[in-house]
Amino acid sequence: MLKKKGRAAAQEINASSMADIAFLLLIFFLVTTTIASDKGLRIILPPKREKEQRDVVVEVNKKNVYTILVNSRNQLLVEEESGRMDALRKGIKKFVTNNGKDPESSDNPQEAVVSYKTDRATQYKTYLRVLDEIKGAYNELRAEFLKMPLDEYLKFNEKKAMDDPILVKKAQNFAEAMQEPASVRKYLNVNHKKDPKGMSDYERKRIEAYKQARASAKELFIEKYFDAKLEYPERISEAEPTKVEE
Amino acid sequence: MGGFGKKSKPLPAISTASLPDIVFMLLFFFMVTTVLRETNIMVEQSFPSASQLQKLEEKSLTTYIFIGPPTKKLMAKFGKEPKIQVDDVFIESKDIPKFVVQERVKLGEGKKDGLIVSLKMHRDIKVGVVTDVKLKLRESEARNILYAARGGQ
Repeated sequence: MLKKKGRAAAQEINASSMADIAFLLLIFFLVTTTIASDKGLRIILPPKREKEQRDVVVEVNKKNVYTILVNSRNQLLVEEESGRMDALRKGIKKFVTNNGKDPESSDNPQEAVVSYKTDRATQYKTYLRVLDEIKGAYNELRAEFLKMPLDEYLKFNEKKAMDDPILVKKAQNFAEAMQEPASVRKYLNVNHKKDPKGMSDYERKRIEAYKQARASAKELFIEKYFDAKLEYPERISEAEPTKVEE
Repeated sequence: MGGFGKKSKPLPAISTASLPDIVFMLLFFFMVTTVLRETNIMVEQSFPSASQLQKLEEKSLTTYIFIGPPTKKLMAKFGKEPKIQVDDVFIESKDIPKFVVQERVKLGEGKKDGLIVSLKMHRDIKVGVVTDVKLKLRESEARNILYAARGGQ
């Protein structure tokens, strides 16, 4: 009797196991997926050294240099005194923002250089930690300049903001400004309220162009973002590791 | 006893008919986002921690160099000293310029200057090794580099 009944209508395929199959596949992909998180500290290496040519020697006043040395036992020597890792960031910030207050410390943030040297036997972990602290000091200063919290500053995505064509133009202006003689930059970023005195016509023109670019208030923030970078240029000088004295 | 004991109508069973659809959607998402790893990492990976992390957006421009002690399996063969791995082979630091040229060719004419080198290095290696690699990268004009690190202290 049952057999006859079953023949009448085409049997529907039972789809309840479909979910199980799909789950199985899903779990397989979940397990095999490695969401590659490429996070880290970005740096740009100095340009290539020509053959037989030594690195360009730039004379920097000693007081504008903050020296950090790390020996093979991962001990810090900061400004010729033994230093602690957790005091490093504060020390750098104080040094960079000295602005001539302490005659033994830096003249202004644009001049300040952080010099960093390790031993060949220093642990990479320590090396990166110090680099992180240096970067942290600069990022904190920039975040303060923008009056925003540090983590928000770190999250701000320069590249994404730059997909905007107007901002791309801004970025070009910024890049150009970076090529400018120091006098122009200084004028634009430090004392742009004063009259430009003793500048060439070319410089004055550039300043005008840059000011016009600034005038459109729409992208004020990103401009300020770049200003923060100009105000506190990350000047890290990394020496080739050799033997550091204990 | 009032409405208390009254049996309300049995709730209709929740239809699970859309479950496969949902699961398939998830499945497709993972299938699309999965990038099956091309290289077999032959060195131990344990990144140092850092707080000022930057994300690497330009995946297609990135090339990887792994440095660390060989994995347990390979330790017998290659020893404990940190090794430099690119693609699927161990190389010496002097071979890095050649590797960079290869990677540039892969990127093609338009993009080759945008090359970013991500250095995935074990936290316990010595700076000496890192420096050798950096000097070679500098020599081959691959100056945009990233020290891979993880968040949190």
